[in-house]
Amino acid sequence: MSASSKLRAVAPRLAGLVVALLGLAALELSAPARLDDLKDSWREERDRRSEEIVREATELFEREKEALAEVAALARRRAVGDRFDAPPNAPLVNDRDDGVYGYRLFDDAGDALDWRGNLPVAFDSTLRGRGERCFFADEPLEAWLVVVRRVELAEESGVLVVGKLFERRYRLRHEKFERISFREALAERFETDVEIEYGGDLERARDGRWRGFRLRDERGDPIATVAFAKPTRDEALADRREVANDWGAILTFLAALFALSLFVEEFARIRGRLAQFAVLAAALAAARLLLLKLEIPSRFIDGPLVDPKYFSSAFGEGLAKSPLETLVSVGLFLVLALWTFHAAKSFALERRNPNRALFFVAAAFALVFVPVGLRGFAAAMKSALFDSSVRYFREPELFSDPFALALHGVFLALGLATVSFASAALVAPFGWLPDRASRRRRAFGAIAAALALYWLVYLWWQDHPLLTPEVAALAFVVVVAAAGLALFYRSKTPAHALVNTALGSIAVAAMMNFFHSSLERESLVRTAHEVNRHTGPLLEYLARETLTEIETSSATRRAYETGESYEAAAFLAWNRAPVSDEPFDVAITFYDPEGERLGGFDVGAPEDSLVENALRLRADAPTTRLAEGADAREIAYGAAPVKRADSIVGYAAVVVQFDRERFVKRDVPEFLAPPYRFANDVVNLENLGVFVVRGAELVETVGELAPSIEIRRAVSDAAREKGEAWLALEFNRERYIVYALEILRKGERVVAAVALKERELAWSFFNFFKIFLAHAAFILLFAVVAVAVRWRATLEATARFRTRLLVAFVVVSVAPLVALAAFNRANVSEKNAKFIRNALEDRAVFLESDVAKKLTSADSVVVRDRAEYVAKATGMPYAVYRDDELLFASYEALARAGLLPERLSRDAYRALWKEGLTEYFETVTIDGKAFNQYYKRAAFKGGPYLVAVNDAFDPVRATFTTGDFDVFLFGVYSFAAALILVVSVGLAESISRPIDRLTAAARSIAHGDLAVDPGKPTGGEIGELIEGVRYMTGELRRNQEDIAALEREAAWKEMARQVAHEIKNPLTPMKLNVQHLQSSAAKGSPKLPSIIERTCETLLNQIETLNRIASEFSQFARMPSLKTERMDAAAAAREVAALFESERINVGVEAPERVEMEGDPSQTKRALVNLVRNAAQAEATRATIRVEGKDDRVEIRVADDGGGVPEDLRERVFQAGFTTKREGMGIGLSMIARYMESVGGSISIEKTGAEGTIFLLFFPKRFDVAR
Amino acid sequence: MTGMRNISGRIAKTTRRVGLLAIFLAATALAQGARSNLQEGNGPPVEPAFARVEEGLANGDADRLSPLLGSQTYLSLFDGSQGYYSSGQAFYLLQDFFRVNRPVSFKFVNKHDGDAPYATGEYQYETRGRRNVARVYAAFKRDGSSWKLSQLSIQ
Repeated sequence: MSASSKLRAVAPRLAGLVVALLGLAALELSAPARLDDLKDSWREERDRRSEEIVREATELFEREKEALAEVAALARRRAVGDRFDAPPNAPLVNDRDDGVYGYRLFDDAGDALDWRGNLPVAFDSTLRGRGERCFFADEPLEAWLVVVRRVELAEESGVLVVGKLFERRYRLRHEKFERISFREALAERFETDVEIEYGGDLERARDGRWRGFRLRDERGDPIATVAFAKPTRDEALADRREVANDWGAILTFLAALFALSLFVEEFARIRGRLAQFAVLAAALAAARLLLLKLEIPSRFIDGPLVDPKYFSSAFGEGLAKSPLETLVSVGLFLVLALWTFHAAKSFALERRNPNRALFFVAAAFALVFVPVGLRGFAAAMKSALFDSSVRYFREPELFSDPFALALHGVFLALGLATVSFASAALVAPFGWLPDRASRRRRAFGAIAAALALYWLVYLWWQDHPLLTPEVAALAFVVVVAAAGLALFYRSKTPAHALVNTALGSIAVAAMMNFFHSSLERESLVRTAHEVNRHTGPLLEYLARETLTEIETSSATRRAYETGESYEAAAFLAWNRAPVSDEPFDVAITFYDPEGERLGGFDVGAPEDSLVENALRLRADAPTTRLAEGADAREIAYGAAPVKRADSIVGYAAVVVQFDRERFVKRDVPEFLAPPYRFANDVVNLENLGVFVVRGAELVETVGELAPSIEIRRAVSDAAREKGEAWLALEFNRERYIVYALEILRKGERVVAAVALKERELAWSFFNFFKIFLAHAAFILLFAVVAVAVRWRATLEATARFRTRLLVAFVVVSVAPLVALAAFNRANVSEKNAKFIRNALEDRAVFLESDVAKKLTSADSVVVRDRAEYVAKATGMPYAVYRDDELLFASYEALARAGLLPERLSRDAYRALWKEGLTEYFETVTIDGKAFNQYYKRAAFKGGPYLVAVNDAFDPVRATFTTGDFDVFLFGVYSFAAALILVVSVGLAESISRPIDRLTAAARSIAHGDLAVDPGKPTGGEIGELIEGVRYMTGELRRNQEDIAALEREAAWKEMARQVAHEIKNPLTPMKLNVQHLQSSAAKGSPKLPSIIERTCETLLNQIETLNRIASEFSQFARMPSLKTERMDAAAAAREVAALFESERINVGVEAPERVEMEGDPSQTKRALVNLVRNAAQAEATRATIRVEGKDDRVEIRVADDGGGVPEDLRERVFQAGFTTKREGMGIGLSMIARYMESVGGSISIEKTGAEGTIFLLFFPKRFDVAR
Repeated sequence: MTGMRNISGRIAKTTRRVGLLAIFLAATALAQGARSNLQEGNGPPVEPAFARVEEGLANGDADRLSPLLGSQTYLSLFDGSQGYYSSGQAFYLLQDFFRVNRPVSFKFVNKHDGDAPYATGEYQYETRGRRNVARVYAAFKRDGSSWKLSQLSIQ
């Protein structure tokens, strides 16, 4: 290629590079000026931005108003007909039941006709006067945007109130909680602080650093005030710099890409794969470092993908500092690994450069490299578990977390990369090993054995080997299998990559499962420390923080101003203080200045006496103290004044208590404070047993484990020796792992022990398949991409008998298993629901009868008192409703705070009071968290009462949950399914293989190859068929030979007759002339000289005739006539290899896509078939047809690993009639020689010996031949 | 004769030097031993750990805090990160936290040593050009001959 054409080819990329660099320079040069501009015009810019925020925020609000108006219109249309006459599942306003919308339908007298959701709007005569205008219903916990509509019902008119939740001021810690906040939405969108006062004025709006504006109703009257912090100059400058940095990063990256693209073509020209590997590795490493430096793509993405808490490893100075960075690192590593695998495989299969010394060096390198690589992989997999907050095995759900699924993809890619690299290291040395199958197999076996030995020594030698022998053995098998398949099963690299992905998945799943066990053990250490982390100082700090929150809370001010909602203010203070993240019992109580209780809220209900102690601390400033509790408890308490305009209007008392005995299982509903996961987020806390011992004395115990005196002593002795100890102990005939830690408790040394029951085998299977199924999604994706690329070949594969057979096997065997599993799961699920319902029913019956006892009247005050008494006496959480209103609840503070509805649900009301049912069971959702509630009509002196119990405050645990069943289901059934799959593959293979061989044999016979082997008879019909084909080919061969013999005989006869006839013709005149000469000489004829002359002339003529006849016969006996044309030698080689697909000999082709030459396609193929057939008959197991196109010729080499040709026979094998075979006729090689001669080429033995033979066929690319 | 005197003088000088060196080494070893005993009895001083946390928070320097991060550190940050984290996770979480919430100043207000030392302080920081204050609680635990952060709360 000339210089100018080269330049033309790279011109676009060069132009891209120049543009990117110019852009970068322009950016750098213009940045200071742009910043100066912003500084100079900052006032105008700030006002412009503020106006923009006001306009956009107002538009957002208007859209919310329109959406609510639409919902209200829909509700009005439906309100007329649906209400309680509607079927149970009639569509209503809040079909989603997500708590976002709510409505109330009142008649004109103010009686509620219908309701849905927790809309905090009671009937008020002013409602009717509001017309079509919206307003905010502002409660301490929530603010709702509300509209009122008049509706005409069938016999009366009414008022429909529809609201949309606008602001939720608290945050619950469970995963289903949804934060709904217009304020936060604005703050996030405009990246500034925002405050909103719903229905009132806002102090902030008057602050010069803030900008205020109003939200207005349909008439333009203000209904809320919004204030936001005005943009600051520093912030704007920082933003502008950040944008410039983003563009700088993009342009640098583009410039690097263009620069790299200029060298892509050069890469192919690099001589030697090792050099190519070095260049590629260096390029990818440079790319990775550049991306890290530029923070691409992390700088453009937010969320869990770039959050270090989901995964972050200290490895590589930031290369794996977040899931996304890890993905980029692994992705580039995978590219290198796949390229290396492909290169190593190609190199090993080419086998061009036999070199024993290099083979041993490379094998030795592989022996060292593979164990190091596998250990690195194990370390990475350990990091995947230990450096991540994602718990892959905690929940029984298969795909509980989509983010975890994404991380599975990253680790699968790492597994694939490791398997590819390690197998490449094992495969590459074979490129230097002489080309003979048996030797290769032996060498591979030797390397595998040496690797196994070295791997064991390597692990044994290390202080912390990371892996157990079982997992190490599995990793070894995976790598060796990948290498063996690459070396001995010829397929395209994508097919091998797919297999390597599956093998990598096995390694990843096994290691994750294994390291999860380690993590479980590690988690016991964490629990032991966590039990002792909650010291008095921490509690006191948290008590002080809670008091500070109370002091500064607007909800506290509002409660003391309005004289109500103390519960809500206390709940908000708890919810916003850091104490709500800890497993502590907390009580927050408000008092008036004289110490009279006004209201409060508690979690875990600390004792009243503690609250009284806290109140005694009331003073002018917040005060806190530590209390001396029992051994198992730490307590801090304090009090702070509530001030208004510098005068004390009341006091707040706070108690914070850590009760170790209730550390694992606290009687707080999950929607309020989910199980304390920080203590142990790896295993379920309820599966743990924690106890503290002092020698043989049991100081405290958490959970249901009761350690015997022997166990206590063993734990104590073991821990005191080294400060900590691991033990395997038996409790109630079950094996437990126990971690014992010596700790200092109130100045005294004791031992805290954490025990975990050893996992059942089903769990291990379940965990393995949980990972494997997640990987299957990616493998499937990979396969789909491969199919999309090679869809034609895939279609052919699916049409094959073997594929159909396999599908049939799998469907027939797995489908009943799946159906059975689904049925069993449904069964367990139904039984669990029934169990829960029965348990709740029993509780309700018990409570109803207890309340009914000694009940003197149906007066609501009497019923409430009695219900309260029963609640305290039994400790059972429940509620009593009078009609649809909550009369009493043991969790009343939550209802008063507004977290739980104070009204009966619409569906329960309809079922119990309108349809007359005596009991009703429903699932209730509080802020996304669902629980079961059971209602029973109570016969309290005939009054309209209901008793309601639920499993939120006192959970009902079924003995065998659907989660437990899933573990069993996927642990055992998946194993069975996998087993069935493996057996099905084996069966399909065993059935289809003989048929494949028969098909290939038929194809060979059609091509005239009667020496083909249709396979061994296997018995049964297929066996008979094989026997039949064998018999048929034998008969055909014999017939062919007979026919050939007969033809030869006939030809000889005909030839003899012709020869005789032709020879006779000239002989007769010759004889007559000679006789005439004889008689003339005897008579002494004077014409003798002329007679001699004539006779000689005749003889010469006839001899010439005989010569011509001989030439003609010679021509007649020549090879079949040549039909030469332009042909593809590579295609011919592949066709021949295909003929031997089902035979014992493994025939490979090494050829470029196309090699053109002139030749007779039919005779070329016949020659190659002959050579391969000869190799097979010489007991070769592998043959390779290598086609190379040179400038002026084409060389085809047929190499085999058979016994070779003896040196003394090397030249004779091409002679006609020469053979070393018992049944051979000695014409095959001589025919090839003649064909080669006819096309101007040649055949020779390039190499022969004990390692096999290489025949070289040389074809000139062009030749002249008489056609 | 003079030569002999010189040699004996050198030997005497060397012997004195060796003697002095031996006495110095013995004294050092004894002092070291005494110090080890003292440390074994009272534990390592926690003040340097307090100082390191103070410096780390005042400068927003996660590298400075890194040696104090154990295999499991309980972090509770007002940006939502809460729980036990490995040293690598904790390092990058703190690095990200400091980058967004740049420190203006930090000092421990209360320090308590003993078996479970802890300290509290106020962290003044700047987020998007606006200043705020968060309260800090740091607790330490012994790890062999050093102290590690067992908990760091910035709320």
